Amino acid sequence: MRKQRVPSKATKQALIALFNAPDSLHGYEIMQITGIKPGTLYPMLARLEDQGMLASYWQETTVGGRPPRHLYGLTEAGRALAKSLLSDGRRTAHSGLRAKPI
Amino acid sequence: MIRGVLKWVILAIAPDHRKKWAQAMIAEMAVIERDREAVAFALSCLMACWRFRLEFNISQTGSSMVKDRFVILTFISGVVAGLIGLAYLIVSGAPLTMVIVNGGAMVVGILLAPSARLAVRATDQVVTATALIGAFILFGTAIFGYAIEDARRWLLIGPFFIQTSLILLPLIAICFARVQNFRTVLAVFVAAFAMVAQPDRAMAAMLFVAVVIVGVMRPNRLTVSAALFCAMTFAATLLLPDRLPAVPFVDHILWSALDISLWVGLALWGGCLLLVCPIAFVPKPERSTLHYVFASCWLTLIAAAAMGAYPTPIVGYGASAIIGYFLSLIFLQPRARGRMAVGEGPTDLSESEETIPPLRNSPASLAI
Repeated sequence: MRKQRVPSKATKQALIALFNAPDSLHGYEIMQITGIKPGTLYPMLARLEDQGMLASYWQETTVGGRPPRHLYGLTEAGRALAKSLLSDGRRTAHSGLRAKPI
Repeated sequence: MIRGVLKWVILAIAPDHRKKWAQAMIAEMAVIERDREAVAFALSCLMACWRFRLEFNISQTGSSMVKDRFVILTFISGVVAGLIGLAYLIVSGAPLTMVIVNGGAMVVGILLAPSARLAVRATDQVVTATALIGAFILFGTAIFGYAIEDARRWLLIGPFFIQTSLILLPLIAICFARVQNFRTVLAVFVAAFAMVAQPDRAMAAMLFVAVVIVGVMRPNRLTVSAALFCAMTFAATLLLPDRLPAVPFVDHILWSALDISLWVGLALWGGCLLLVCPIAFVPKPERSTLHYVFASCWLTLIAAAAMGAYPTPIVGYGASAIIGYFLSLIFLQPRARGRMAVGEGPTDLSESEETIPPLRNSPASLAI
């Protein structure tokens, strides 16, 4: 059985941001909430999607000339993982991990 | 303008299976109104695409290397043989600097083989260019290199003595085994002449044996003329005086190791022969010129080390041989037909024209 790797701090932040968000988020929004740079964010989102934690879809924009945007939301597995991360975070308050309000 | 260029670069770099992500990044760029912020965002996205590309290349190269039993065995043999060489240096009481240099060379070789395979796409043009550049470096060493007792075989790079022939000659032999055209024959001629100019009997013998194998397995006007020229240059090196004194812990060690202990001697012999062993694991019908040339190069070097004052492949003055061993892995894999570039193949007699049955691939047990 494949061993599940412990998520990095950035992955935890992104998962918690998506978990706390009422709707799916755009990449730029995740970046603004978590402060993670796109160079780290997009490979991480791609990996999360490969692992089945994240679902993505295209959203047509109403503004003319702009391409459709990519939206990201957690799958059931992703929500379960984020929930467990949040409860772990509450137990270890000194970990420094805080979910930022959206 | 800058946004447009960056968009194009992002899309170009991202591998096909990650194009969706590149398009997602571009869509986000369009939302950012301030140019400066958009460019900073795009530059960071560029890093993400580089990462996608690198991961893709590593998975492709890594898996192809893992699937090729000969290459992976050669790699493991090199590592084990190198460790035996280091153990010998420690047991025999060699200076610490020598242990560090040999260990460092092994690490360089181990890192160089996969990274060079990532960077280099082994087309006929690349193989030919490598052979030519290598040959002229050898010739340059013979003229401008560092000389000891009339033997001009080394380049002094910082504190390191690099015997260029130990690094480049196996690579040139492999290149010639892959591609036989006018330019690779020229490379063989230049390299063979450089071995006379240096002069170096052991390396001239290595080239001679490798080129003869190519000549026998793929006889044509080019390969036979190269073999004849190498025969002449090897004969010339035998006639030239070789006054180079034996270096402690490097030359004659195949015999002196037996004086330390029978086990040390046997380990050293075993380590050297390990470099030749991988060919034994390739079924006979699947063996190609490349396999025979690679094995012959190192076998010749071991024979030379047993007969004269020449270094073994696993312990050296500057440990160049172990780098050369790993470096020759770059072009060792028979090239897949699907990777042939436009315009290649029919004009040159190359390894790619041979019907190379795929080596028995192991199941994809090592996922990268």
